[in-house]
Amino acid sequence: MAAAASTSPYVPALAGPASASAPKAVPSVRDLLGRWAPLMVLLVALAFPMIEQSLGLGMMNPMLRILTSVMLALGLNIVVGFAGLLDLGYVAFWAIGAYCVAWLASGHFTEVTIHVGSGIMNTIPGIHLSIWLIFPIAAVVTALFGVLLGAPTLRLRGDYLAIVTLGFGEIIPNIFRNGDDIAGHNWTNGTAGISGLDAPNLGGAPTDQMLGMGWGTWGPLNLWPWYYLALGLCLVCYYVSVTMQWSKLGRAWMAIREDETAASAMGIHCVNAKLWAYGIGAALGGMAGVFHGARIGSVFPSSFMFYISISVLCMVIIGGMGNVWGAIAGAFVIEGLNFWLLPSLTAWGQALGLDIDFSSWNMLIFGVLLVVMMLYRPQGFIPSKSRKLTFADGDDGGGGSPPPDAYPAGMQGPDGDAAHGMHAPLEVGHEAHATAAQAGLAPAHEPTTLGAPVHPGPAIAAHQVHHEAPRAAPAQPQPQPQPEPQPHAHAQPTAPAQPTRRFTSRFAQGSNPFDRPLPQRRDIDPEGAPA
Amino acid sequence: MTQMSMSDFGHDRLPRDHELLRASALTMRFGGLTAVDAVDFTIPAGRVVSLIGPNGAGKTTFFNMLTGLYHPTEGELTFMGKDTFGRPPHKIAQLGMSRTFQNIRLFKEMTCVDNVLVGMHTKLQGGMLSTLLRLPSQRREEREGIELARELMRFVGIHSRHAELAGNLPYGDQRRLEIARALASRPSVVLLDEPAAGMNPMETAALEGLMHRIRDELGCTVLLIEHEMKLVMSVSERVTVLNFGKKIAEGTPDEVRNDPAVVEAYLGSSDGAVVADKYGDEVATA
Ligand SMILES: Nc1ncnc2c1ncn2[C@@H]1O[C@H](COP(=O)(O)OP(=O)(O)O)[C@@H](O)[C@H]1O
Ligand SMILES: [Mg+2]
Repeated sequence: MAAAASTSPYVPALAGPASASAPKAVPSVRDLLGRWAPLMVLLVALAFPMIEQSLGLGMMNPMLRILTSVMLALGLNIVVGFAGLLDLGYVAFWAIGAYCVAWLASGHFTEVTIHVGSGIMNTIPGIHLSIWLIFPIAAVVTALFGVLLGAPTLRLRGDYLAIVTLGFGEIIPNIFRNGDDIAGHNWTNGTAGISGLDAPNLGGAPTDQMLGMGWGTWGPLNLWPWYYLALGLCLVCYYVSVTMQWSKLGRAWMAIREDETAASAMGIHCVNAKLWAYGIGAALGGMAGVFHGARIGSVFPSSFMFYISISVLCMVIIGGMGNVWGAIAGAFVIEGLNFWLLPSLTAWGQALGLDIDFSSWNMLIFGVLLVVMMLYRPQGFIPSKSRKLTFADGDDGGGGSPPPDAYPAGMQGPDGDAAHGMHAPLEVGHEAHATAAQAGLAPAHEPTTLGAPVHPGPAIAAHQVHHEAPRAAPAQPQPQPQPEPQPHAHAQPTAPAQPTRRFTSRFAQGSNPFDRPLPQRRDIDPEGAPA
Repeated sequence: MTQMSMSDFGHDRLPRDHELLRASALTMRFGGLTAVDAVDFTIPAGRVVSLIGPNGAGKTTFFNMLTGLYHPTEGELTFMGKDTFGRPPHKIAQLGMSRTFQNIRLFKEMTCVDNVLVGMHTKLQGGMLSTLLRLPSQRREEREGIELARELMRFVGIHSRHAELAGNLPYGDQRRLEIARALASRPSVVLLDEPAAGMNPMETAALEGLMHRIRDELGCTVLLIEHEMKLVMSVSERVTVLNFGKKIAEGTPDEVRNDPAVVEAYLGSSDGAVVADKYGDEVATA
């Protein structure tokens, strides 16, 4: 959030449209970073194969794996980060996506011979679709499975949700493992998996492919097309994430994450919103699965282990739940550990005469990393869940907590101490809640008088931990901002009268917020309501 | 896009004092405890009406039944001419009922503007396809939604805090943000559960004006639960008193104030004076 241009939170709004002409504050480094970083990252990403080749880093294969993880992390971030639905079985959708490409672009089903843009001889038996068709098909199929597997979990929260999703994450790969004889048909080829998947085709002649040249060639020797395909898929996932995040549905997800009862009281159909989250999250995971299957050229049930679900969840959590860039960063960190740090440690250890394979310690290291993160930075690397709002009239939204002394003198409450007496219980409750969450516990009970029909159970520790810095401690007297004097409200002689009148007068003149041409009313059928 | 105007809702839709909501013999039992016992209740459109009673009288439970958070045990419930008995909360919200909570339930990790935009949920189109394609209509709706959210925040008096996380607001501002969020759906009736709890006297005074403005400028009926008797008596046009889940009195503030049964219920003194609740954490003074 940009520093407010003024010390007083009241100034921009009181000045109203006039503040547009006021000199703009010099954009902060963080501001510039926020604006340009995505573009810079994209440029670096586009140039990466050239850089990699000229430096001879040998990083293409790890990078493809990292980009696959980025897709998975972005997909899971929708389910866990946005909607707050702890999913421990996300690998299922990756597996389904991979099997989609295995079925639709291989000779597995020898009974049929279907070719659609496969770029190979169309007498070869099996289903051979172009990968460009498989992506949308797999996205729809996995989205349907996301909804299907999500539906039974809708009423569950916290631990129960986690356990059921974990179960699905185990069941799906097992179905693939045992799917070599379902109804007398070999669907999945069992543990041997399906191999010999078609290489994607961009229209190059088959002879070009044989020669290992050109963009038509998607082989182990030419990784560039794979790389750009992966990058494109990551961009799709990124676009879907950021577009959904600040939409009606994205806000509904976050509202459900924060407080499902309040969300439903706001008119949110929680069941639908959750199913959308499962569906969209699964579709992104499915596309990652298609890429992975096509890239490896074969699909084995043994590669869809619980371990994958956990490491993708780690990426989302350590990056900062609900933050798109956090998920991306998390994918780089976790896969960086896998592909660079741990092998390097092993090599260094060997150089020192130690015979330790650090790579086999990765789960231990993830676990430690997760615990350390939860203890010291529960909000993840990139915690900001708020967006920068800029308005036409130059009001920057007053982001950031203004210091207590920012309130204009004379607007303090007459009896700050009395007010604080009332605030004290709230503060205590707040802190207790945060502490409980930090310890991985949920508050045993929400206050009953409020009466939620279902109490939000423990979700995941990081989710429940509130913002880093709660409000000022009750011990320090903090002047309370007074309500803006309104024409109809009680007169407040202490408040500056001149600018306020100008600002609030629009309501006095009958221009009220409800006169806006904004939303359509499509939910109340006029016939049903009494005239 | 059709113009959304005053004629679309509230007391313009229903003539003043037309019956907006009717509850008949509404009952809520939790095991052996009858929290709300066969209460008859109506909300006349375009008014500010209050529901009072000692702590544990069943007021919040009554709100939860009206808004669908609780499935009433028995009785009848009609809102906007529709049977809403046992309907899910989002359906009732879509019909034009909106509420705040006794223990503030803002979306703490979302910005203030986003909180209000969530309140606008039922009034936004936000179609899946137009969102993903970022169609101009969708972007305009979003822009206008943000503008309206800002105006509502101004309306309740917490402008220039739009981009702050709701959980970072001072307590009184959180209460008002909750009201702005409730108003964002342009409800026919807004249910406020102890909005003055924890507010300082000046904030409470401003609240009185705010409630009149909600009624007069936004044309929105207000149903209020409040312990702050001064506020209740000056703001309401009709007061209903619950005690142990039963309705013990109903009428104008003056009638209720002088009702012996009410004085009896509020153990203490004769003019609705000091009420310390059974938990000892909330105190209302006259
Ligand atoms: N979900 C619930 N389960 C069991 N008892 C409840 C529940 N909600 C409220 N109650 C009980 O119903 C009674 C009325 O509570 P409430 O409506 O919150 O009172 P008020 O809001 O008037 O202070 C209390 O005795 C309370 O303990
Ligand atoms: Mg209550």
